[in-house]
Amino acid sequence: MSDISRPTLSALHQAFRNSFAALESNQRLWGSELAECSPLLGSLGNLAEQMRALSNVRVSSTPLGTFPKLEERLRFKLQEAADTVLEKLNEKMCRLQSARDAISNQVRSVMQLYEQNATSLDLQAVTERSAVTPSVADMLEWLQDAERHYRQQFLQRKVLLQTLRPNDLALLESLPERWKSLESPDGEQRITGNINCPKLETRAPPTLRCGTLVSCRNTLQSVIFPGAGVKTEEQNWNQNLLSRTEVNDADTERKTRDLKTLHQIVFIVY
Amino acid sequence: MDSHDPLMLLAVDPSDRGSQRCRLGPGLMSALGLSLGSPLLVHVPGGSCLCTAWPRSDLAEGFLQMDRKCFTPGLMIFPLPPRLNIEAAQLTPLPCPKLRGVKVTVVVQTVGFKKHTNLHIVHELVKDMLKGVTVHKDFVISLEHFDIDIKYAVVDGINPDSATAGMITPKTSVEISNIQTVRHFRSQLQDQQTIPLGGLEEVTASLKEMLQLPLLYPRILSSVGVTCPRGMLLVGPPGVGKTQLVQKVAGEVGASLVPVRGPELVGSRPGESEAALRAVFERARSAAEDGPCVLFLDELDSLFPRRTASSAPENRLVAQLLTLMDGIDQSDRFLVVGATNRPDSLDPALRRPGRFDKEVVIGVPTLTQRLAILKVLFEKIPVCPTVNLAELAQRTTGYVGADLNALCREAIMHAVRENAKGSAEQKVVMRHFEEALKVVSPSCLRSSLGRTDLPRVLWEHIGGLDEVKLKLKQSIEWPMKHPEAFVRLGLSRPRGVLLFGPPGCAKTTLVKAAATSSSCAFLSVSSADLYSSYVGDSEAALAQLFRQARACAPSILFLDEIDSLIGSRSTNETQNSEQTRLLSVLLNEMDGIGVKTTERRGAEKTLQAEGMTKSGAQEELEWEEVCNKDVMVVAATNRPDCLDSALLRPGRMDHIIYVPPPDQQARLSILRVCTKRMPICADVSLEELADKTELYSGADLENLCKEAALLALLEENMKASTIKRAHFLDSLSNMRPSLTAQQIQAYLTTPR
Repeated sequence: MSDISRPTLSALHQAFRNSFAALESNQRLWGSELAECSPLLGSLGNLAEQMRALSNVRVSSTPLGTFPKLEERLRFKLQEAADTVLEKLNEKMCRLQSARDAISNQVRSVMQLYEQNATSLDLQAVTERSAVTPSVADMLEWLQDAERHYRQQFLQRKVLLQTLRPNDLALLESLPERWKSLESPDGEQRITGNINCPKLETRAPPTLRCGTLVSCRNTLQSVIFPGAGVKTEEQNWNQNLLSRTEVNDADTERKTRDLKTLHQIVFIVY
Repeated sequence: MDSHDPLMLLAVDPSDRGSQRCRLGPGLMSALGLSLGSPLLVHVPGGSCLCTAWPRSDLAEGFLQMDRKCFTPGLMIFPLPPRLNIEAAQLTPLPCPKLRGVKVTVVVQTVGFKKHTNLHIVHELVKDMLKGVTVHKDFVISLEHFDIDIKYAVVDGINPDSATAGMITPKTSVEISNIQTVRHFRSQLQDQQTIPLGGLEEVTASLKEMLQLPLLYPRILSSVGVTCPRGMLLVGPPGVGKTQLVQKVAGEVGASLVPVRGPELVGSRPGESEAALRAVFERARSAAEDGPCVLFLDELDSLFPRRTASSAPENRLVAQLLTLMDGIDQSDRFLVVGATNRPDSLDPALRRPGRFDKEVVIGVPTLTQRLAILKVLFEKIPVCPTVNLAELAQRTTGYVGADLNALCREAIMHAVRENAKGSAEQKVVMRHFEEALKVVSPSCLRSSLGRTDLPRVLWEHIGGLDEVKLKLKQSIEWPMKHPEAFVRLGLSRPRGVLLFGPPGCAKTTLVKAAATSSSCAFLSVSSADLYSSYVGDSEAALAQLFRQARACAPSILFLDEIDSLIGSRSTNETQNSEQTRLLSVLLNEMDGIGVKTTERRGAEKTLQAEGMTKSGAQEELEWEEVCNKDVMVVAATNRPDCLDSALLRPGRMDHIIYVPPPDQQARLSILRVCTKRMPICADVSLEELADKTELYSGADLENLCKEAALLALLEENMKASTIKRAHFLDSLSNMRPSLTAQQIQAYLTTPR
């Protein structure tokens, strides 16, 4: 190793140390943000299920038909709820983006530092490894790989959210699974393994869909019962609905299932 | 390390996917003066790749792994062969400055994504994806590793213009010029490799017009209230290039082609075929959203035959096609093109405006068309400049494009075989084409009943009869050789020539010589071919024969022994016999009635825009083409009195030529021809023999020579070396002439 390249190398090593630290912190941020996304996605999937149930049932032919414009109101409310969730997801995406941008900037600055000094570093110096320090080439490669990984992850999730459309229920329903399928433990492992950080596995257990359901309950209440004091009617209707749903005709099995789902929505309200 | 060692190309490491890295040994990197991440252009067979250099993690030399992220479009179609070795010279470092701007065409997976995704979101995504990529002008950037709907970006242009390659930084502006689907993009790439076609300019123009007009002037057309044609039927004999034409035009217009081959559609269960047909139309419709699209139904007759009364499954398929074609509305911008060589077997409901609006007949190529085809074919062959294209085009009457292709292939094979024998000639010369002409026969005549193997007979092979020869030359050879003179004097080619005369006087041989010298297609028919036990079958066969003769015009249709083939109406006992019906067909065909529309050939209009001056040779060819588009009927008989008078009038049999029995001079020359290969003793005087053989026909004279030779063998016990005068005289005394003076008198008095 020539004498000229020694200070350059040490400067590079310092930059590497900084950027690996930054990478680690950003990766933690990424992981936690991602973990917070999954309940939101769960509720989106739930909302989609409810929309599906709503579209499968002809409300006018059920006892619920007595309520004016129930279907439209329910649909509106469900969409509004979905919008709210999407908005929250969007905020999460923004944070993910900032984490990703931080990583990109870090990597780029190291790369620039290398490029500025590329003339004074010969290839042998760059590829030299020792028992305690990896070579410059290896470290640059790891940084680039990490940057690419996060860029790809972010883009895939962004595109997935972008392709959602209000009338494509199937896509909305499959969203949680697709979101989950985007995770690439391999890529994550490679990065975490490289920077010697314990594997980040603090993802929250599958959350109940309470949050959505509560909001749904509120909305339904406001839609169906704009005024108070209709308790008796409501009870009647409930009984009616229950007796109807017990009819288990083979032909109408699917219908009944959908009705049950719808019923569950309504049931939660009370 | 030795930099001359070839590098072995290995598959890319999975962790390197999408990194644009090219893994080399560090030694080679420093030899090339590369640092980490320096751009490197790798030339591989079929294209090149732009990569960034990176040392291998095991620092080994002699291997190359590259992630193909930025590469020439050609590499998309042709994958790299396995076990490729790359020389170090194929790697060139390329300076890549930071780019100010880049203009790309985005290629997406589905039409749905293109339709539903906002342009600025696409822009945002593409910009994000391209960040940090080193790009080269006109290269394709693969974005497949992102695993989203955007698959490729094609670099249309970069800013600054002076650079050919550069690096995209966050500050580089990205402009999207167009969004395409992968299928469209791929089909466009494939179409760039289409073969040029010769001689189909007119059809190409009209097909192009149909495809392009609604795209170029949609508003004008709708304001005029013109609905654009949606269907086109290409009709023509097999091998004229219908399928290739559609592929070529689709490629030129940039339309995507949805090809349907007949058998692919047909399913075994009821309803399956119809569903397949619907799926095909759906496919075309979705492809049409991308740009112009052609739905191409090849071999239409096999799929949609004439509907029959019984409930055949084809009936349902035809009905489905009808409803689907009616269902195409103006917003669907695709064109249905069908191709068939048997238009008459199609269901008539398909052939009305609104379904297949336009029917384009591609006939057997004419002389100029053949010339154009040969020109195109010759571009790829190392042809010796001495090969006369025009002559070859003249000699290939009746050959379609496929035949000409086969001809060239055969000629090349001959040349290759000759080269293998050690000949120094590296080029294909006329001799090879002549060999090939013997092997490859025109496909429109392959199943013809009149196809005969014509032995080459030269005029010189026939002794005497100079007057008859001259007349035959006048009517057959002159129109071929000097068409401009015929046109100048307002002469038209004779429709028919009748040769009559006593048997054995070389009528048939004369016709053969005429066909050989004029090098036109020669069809001959005998009553064995024509007569059949079914009523109407022979007439159909004769009409078919004329059709084929017209397809390969100029051609000679030779009816030998026409008196037995077609009798006279006046002498026949029964009024409606088969012979009478055949006669009426013959009369009709000779008058030019019975020509079907599907037999049309060649260009009817000349393109006004091409006002070029033509060379003299070219003009001559065109003259020739105008004059020689008819079939000439040549008939021979020895009983002219048995022929119907309607057949003998001018306009049908224009020239009635009497082939007389040979006179003394003629007999002499016949004897000379016959004894050319015989070792005759010096004491034989052919003049004397000619004098003594009054009333002998040509066939008799030939027989006489044979007899004399046999006699010589008999007498000298197989060891005869010459034929003596005595042999001739002996055999002459044993023979009698086959003609009589009365007979000849009868011919002479036959009323014209």
